[in-house]
Amino acid sequence: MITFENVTKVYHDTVYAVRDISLVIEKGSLCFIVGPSGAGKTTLLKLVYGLERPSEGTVSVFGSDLSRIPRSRLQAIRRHTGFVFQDYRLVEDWTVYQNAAIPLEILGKSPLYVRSRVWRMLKWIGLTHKVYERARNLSGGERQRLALVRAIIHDPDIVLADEPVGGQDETTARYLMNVFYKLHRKGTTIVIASHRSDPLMDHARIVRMEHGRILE
Amino acid sequence: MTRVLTVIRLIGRGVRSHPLGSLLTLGACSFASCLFALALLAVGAAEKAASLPVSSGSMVAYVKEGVPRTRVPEMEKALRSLPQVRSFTFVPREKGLEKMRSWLGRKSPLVEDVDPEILPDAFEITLGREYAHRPEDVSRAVAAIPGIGDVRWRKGLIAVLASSYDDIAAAALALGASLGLTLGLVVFLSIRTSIASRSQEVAVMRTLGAPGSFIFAPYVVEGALYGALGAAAGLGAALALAGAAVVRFPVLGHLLEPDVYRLALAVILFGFACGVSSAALAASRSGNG
Repeated sequence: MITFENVTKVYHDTVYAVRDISLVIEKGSLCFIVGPSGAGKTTLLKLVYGLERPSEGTVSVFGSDLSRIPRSRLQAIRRHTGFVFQDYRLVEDWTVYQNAAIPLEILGKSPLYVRSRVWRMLKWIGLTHKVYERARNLSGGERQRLALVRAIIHDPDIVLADEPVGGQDETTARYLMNVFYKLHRKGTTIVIASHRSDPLMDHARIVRMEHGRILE
Repeated sequence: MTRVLTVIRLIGRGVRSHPLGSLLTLGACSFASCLFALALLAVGAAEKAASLPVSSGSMVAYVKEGVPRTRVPEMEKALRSLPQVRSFTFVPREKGLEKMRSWLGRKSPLVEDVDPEILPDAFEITLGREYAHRPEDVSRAVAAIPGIGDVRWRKGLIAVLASSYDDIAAAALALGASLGLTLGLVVFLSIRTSIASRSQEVAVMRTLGAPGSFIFAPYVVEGALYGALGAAAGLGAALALAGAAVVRFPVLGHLLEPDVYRLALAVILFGFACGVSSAALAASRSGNG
């Protein structure tokens, strides 16, 4: 499903974010990319999502080499992939409802379906009391939960999460990790970049990175 | 249907975020469309003026006062013998008054209470095509016919309008082009500003995999609405101005009586096309940027 073949990503010709990585992440698997800050975890996720292009090698998702496909195909792949960004990337002027609904609107779902699905997801994640609040007024934990809802509301085939529980208290972190586990049990491919250990890792494949290389 | 609702919602969000800018853009579009509609009205007036009897390629010869109608056949024979005259029609004074009433309107103070007896009989003369450019020579020949008192062509406001048709049409074309550019520029800048002010929204939607058509359709529709609604408002203003001009100058009544449907179609299409094309250009430039 996700394949890296001898992938290297260099910034400004000198800074190596990832070096000569080869990796296969099977469909439906739960994979943790772990390592210290600067190990290349975020770059790896961005390569899968097509936000970065490899300097060398190929990254394939759903069998398509992301460097060779047209922009429209890349956008189609993104529509079936969820991404929980480390900085959330919410639209600050939009309400919680609008931020949560946008992936479904992009997919052209009917207004009735969008409404019921958004309310159900917000209730599940505990944000119904903030539904008409603007994103800029949410706390860090609420923003993170909203980012998670936006990433999974459209039942994507792949979910990528960059430090999804960073800065969260233990209870919230457990709750969010449980969400990922449930999705994995439903057959969704989950790739989580994290710098801290988690009990969920006992059920997952662990890929350790340091200085842009895979250690094991 | 879902897409339409989404587009409407996104337009609503956009307009609510910059209501004053939207209003100013709409005002500028209305102003440009109003000028365009006035230019079209001027062309229409000139075209009508050119088709009136006393205009290009035709003239009117008035029978001298006191000449009896029994001499009309004699004058017709003389006219027929002139090579410069292609055709002519005898217009008795009663019919002449009726014609004036139809041109100027029955309520026009110029014809309302006129007694036909004070008017002369006349001949409406159409010149041969090769003589149309030198009416002075023809007029001299016609005036020499016994019984003819006065010969007129291209005289007065209507004749000036008629003779200026080509100039007015060219000016309207140039004005229309510059107004189209102006309207397009206003919509282009407005849409560019709107996209720039919502750059975070655009970037997030693009990141989430939204196609360009999803992201930019609301902006293109917004541009189309500016153009079409502005054109409708401008058309209304132009028709009101034309009405006011007819009240002030009744002689223009017949000339400024537009075919409203054709005029509306032309002005609204003009606004719509300018709005859509410039909004699409703004969106495509933002999409590439």
